[in-house]
Amino acid sequence: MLHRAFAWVSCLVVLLTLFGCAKHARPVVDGVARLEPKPAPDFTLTRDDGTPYHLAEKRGREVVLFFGYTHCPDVCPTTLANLETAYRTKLTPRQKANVDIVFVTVDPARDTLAQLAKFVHLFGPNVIGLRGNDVQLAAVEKSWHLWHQRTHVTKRGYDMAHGSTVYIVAPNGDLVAAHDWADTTETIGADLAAFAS
Amino acid sequence: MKRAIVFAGLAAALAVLSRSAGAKPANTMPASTIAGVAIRDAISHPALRGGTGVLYATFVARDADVLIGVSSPLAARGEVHESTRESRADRGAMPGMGTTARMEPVARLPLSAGAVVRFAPGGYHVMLLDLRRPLVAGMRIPVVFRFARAGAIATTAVVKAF
Repeated sequence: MLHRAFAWVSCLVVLLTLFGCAKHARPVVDGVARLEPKPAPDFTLTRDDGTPYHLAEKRGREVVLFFGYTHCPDVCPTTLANLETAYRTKLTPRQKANVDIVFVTVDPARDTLAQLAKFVHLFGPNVIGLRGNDVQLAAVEKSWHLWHQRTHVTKRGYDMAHGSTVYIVAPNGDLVAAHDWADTTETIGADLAAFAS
Repeated sequence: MKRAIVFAGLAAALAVLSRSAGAKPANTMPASTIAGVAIRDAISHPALRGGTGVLYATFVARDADVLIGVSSPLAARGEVHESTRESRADRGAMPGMGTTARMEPVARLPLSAGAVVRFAPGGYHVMLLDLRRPLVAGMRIPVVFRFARAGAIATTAVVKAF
């Protein structure tokens, strides 16, 4: 009887300890949502090379969208690095030619096109930066039901709270899937491959 | 037989406990083990001059202490922050999928005796603000962490490519 009790206690300690360790690990959510396909809200923003980027003209291409800001140290770089790795390792050469990984800044006040270009290039040549002025950004955020907010504003700068979902627009222009930013490269990569033409 | 099972269970429990307490041999990165807190696996990633760099590390506290500051000569200032997430059913391009990322400054981070606290994406991290130089893969960054009891502990973070 006593032995059995010891065995149970041992198991419990193991489980609790494993749980305790897990809480410090990077959150792996894999919260992919397959959406009822509907046309992605259209927009025209400026690409980091100064040319216009019109979403509706990207039919035939898969567009992967993430919204953030270049002074973001943690969530945005982690997400972009993850998307770039998924793009580089999970797509065929033909698919790569037809997929855009797109980072839209929600901080146009600090993120000039030059700053945006330098930032996205930290992740390799495959990430496209987009910028709009305050009016354009507000319109995009309204149609995509997104928002951002400056936080901890001081004379020296500010942080931003921002939408942290990765959206996939299929080659037919439909918004088809949403991923949590912390989803694994495997999960996001599988989805990039599934929808790429 | 039963006794063997019980001992195996206890051994497994002890093995896992000692792992979480940091008794595992140090990792490949040099550990700063002066005073009561060991700092392991300090890494950073490429970042722009004038921009914000990140720093992740693992803290193993032999004694209870409080992390009260961080600095590096490569940045105008360093701050500890914690990323959090917020889900709002009424936000996002589809119902229920509107997670929002936020950061909160952490002026004081208490470490209990025996605690292993891992800074990692989506959780605690150090912000290196107003970088004086770009951070490039392969660079080694000097960093000083300040603790209430252990005082200043210097370590080196390696900049790893994304």
